[in-house]
Amino acid sequence: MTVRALPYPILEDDALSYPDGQYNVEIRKLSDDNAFSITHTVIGASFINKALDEGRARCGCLVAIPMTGYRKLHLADAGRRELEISWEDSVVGQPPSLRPLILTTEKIECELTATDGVDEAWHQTVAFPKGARLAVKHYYRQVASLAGMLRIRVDPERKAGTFRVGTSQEEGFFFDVRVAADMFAFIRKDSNHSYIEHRGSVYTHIISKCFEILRADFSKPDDDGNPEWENYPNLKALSEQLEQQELPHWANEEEFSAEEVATAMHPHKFPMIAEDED
Amino acid sequence: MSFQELHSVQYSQLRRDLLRDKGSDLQKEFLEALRQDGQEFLEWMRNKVGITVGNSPELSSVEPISEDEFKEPTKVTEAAVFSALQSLEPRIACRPPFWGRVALWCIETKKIGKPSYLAANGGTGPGGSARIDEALKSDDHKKLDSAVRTVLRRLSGLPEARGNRSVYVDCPLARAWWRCFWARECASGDEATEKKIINVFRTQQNYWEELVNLVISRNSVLGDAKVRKALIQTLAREKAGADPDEKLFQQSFLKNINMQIGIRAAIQELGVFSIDELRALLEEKLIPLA
Repeated sequence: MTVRALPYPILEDDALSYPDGQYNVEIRKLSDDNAFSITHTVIGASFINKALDEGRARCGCLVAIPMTGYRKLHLADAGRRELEISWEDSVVGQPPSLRPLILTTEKIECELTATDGVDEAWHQTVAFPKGARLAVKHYYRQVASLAGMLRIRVDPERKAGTFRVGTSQEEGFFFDVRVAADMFAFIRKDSNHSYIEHRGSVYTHIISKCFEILRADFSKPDDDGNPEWENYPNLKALSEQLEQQELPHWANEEEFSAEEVATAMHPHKFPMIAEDED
Repeated sequence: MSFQELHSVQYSQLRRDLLRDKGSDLQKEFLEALRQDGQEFLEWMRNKVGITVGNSPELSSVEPISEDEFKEPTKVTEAAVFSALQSLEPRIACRPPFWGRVALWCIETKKIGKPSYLAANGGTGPGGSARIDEALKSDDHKKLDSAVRTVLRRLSGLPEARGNRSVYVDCPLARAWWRCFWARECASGDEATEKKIINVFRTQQNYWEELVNLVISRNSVLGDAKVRKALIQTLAREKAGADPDEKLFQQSFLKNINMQIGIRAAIQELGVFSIDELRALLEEKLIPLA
C-alpha cells in the first residue's frame, strides 16, 4: 500500500485517498518506436474529472531516460484525455521510461466532500498547488523480455555449428550473438518446422550463456557500490521477471545457476518417442 | 552524419577482460603498448577492437595538447572540441566506443602526443610514462590495475567501474563536449550567458561531477531540461565576481539544492512551470534553504 505525506489526495494504485477511484491508462505504439498514444480514464474520482473538464488540470506523461539527462513532461490539450507523445531518437538513444499522470495547471483551493470521491479524511478545504499530481501510474518500460535483448547475427567466418555471445551496453544493453551461417539458417526456420524442439534447445543454450555472462560480468558492484546492471532498464526488467518467476538473481552467489535459470525460463522439449523404438 | 566508433561489443569485451584480474598478463601487455609510440598502441588496439563504418570524428581545429592540458583541457581546447563535433547527437556523446575512437584519432594525428598521457593522474602526480614504468617494474598488481583503470577512464570513460557518469566526468574530451553542450542548451542563445555557464561548470572537478551525478542519476528532477536551465542560469548569474568560497559553488550546495528541489518536486511536478517561474522559485524559496 502506498502512503504519501502530501497535503492533497492523490489517485494511484493501492492508495487510500479515493476509495473507489481507478486510474487506467492505455498505451499504444504509433507508427514508429518513438511515438505513443496514451489514453487516460478516471473512474470514481469525480473531483479529478471535473478539474480536467474545466481545464484546471491536464493529462500528461513524463518521458525519462537518465543516461542522456533527458526528462520531459508532455501535456495533453485542455479537456482531452488522449495524448500523443514522441521524442527524438538522437537525444534519447535508448528506450525511455514513461509515467502517465494527471496534474493541476493552476492553483486550486476548494472544499472536498463525499461527492468528489475522496475518503472522509479529505472532507475539508484542500489547497492544490500548480503542478500537483492528482493521479499517477508507475513507470512503464518498453523492453522487458530476454528475447528482446538478443541480437542474433550471422558471422560468415564462424565454423559450422558454432556461436559466440558478447555484450554491448551502448543502446540500453543487448547480447550480441554471432552464429555460423548454418546455425543462423536453422534457427530462422518457420516455427512449424519438424525440428522445433531442436531449435528451442539451441535458444536455451544461447540464453544459458547470456546468464553466465551476467553472472560473471554484471553482478559485482561498481566503485560506488551500486550494482552495474541497475544502470540498464532492460536488465532491471529482467531482474523483476526472475523475481516474478521465483528464480534466483544472477548476483545471488549461492543459489544462481545459469543453466538452471535458462532451462526454467525456456525448458528443453523432447519429441515423443514410441515405446518400441530404441 | 554517422561517426565511426570502436566496435561496441569488442570494446566492451576488452574493457571487461582488462578489469577481470589485477596484474594480469593482459594488463601488462596493454600498459606496455601504451608506453611505446602511438603506432604500436594503435596497432595493439586495432588487433583487439574493430572500427565501425562512418565519418572519422576529426578534431582538426584542436591544437596538439600537452599531457597537463589533456588532464585538464583549457577553455579554448574544450570549445574547439565542441566546435569540431557540433553535429554530434547526445545519444552518441554518452557512448564510450565513440570517445574511444576520438581518442585514438587524436593519438594517430598527434593531437595527443603520446598514448601514455592517458595514464597520468590529475594534480601534481607522476606523468603517464613514469606511472606506467613504475607499475610494470614493481609488478605490483594494485598499481598495474590502477594505471589500467585510469587509462580506460581517460580513453572513453569506464561505466563498469564508475557508472554512467564516467563518460561525462572522467574522459576529458567527452567532458569538454558535454560542458559546452549543456552550456549552450542552458544559455538559450545568449553568448555572454554561455561563457558564464562554462565558468560555473569549470568551478572544480568535483562540482562538475556532482552536477553530472544529479542530472543523470535515476529520474532526477534535474534531468528535466527546464529545471536544469533555471538552476544553471541562476548559478551563472551569481558566478561573476563571486568569492571562490561562495557557498553556491561548493559541491555540498549542489547536494543540498538537489534535496530542496526534490522535496518540492514531491509535491509539485516542476515540469509544468515556465523557466522564469522556476528561476523565481529557486531564487526566492529553494536556494535560501540549501
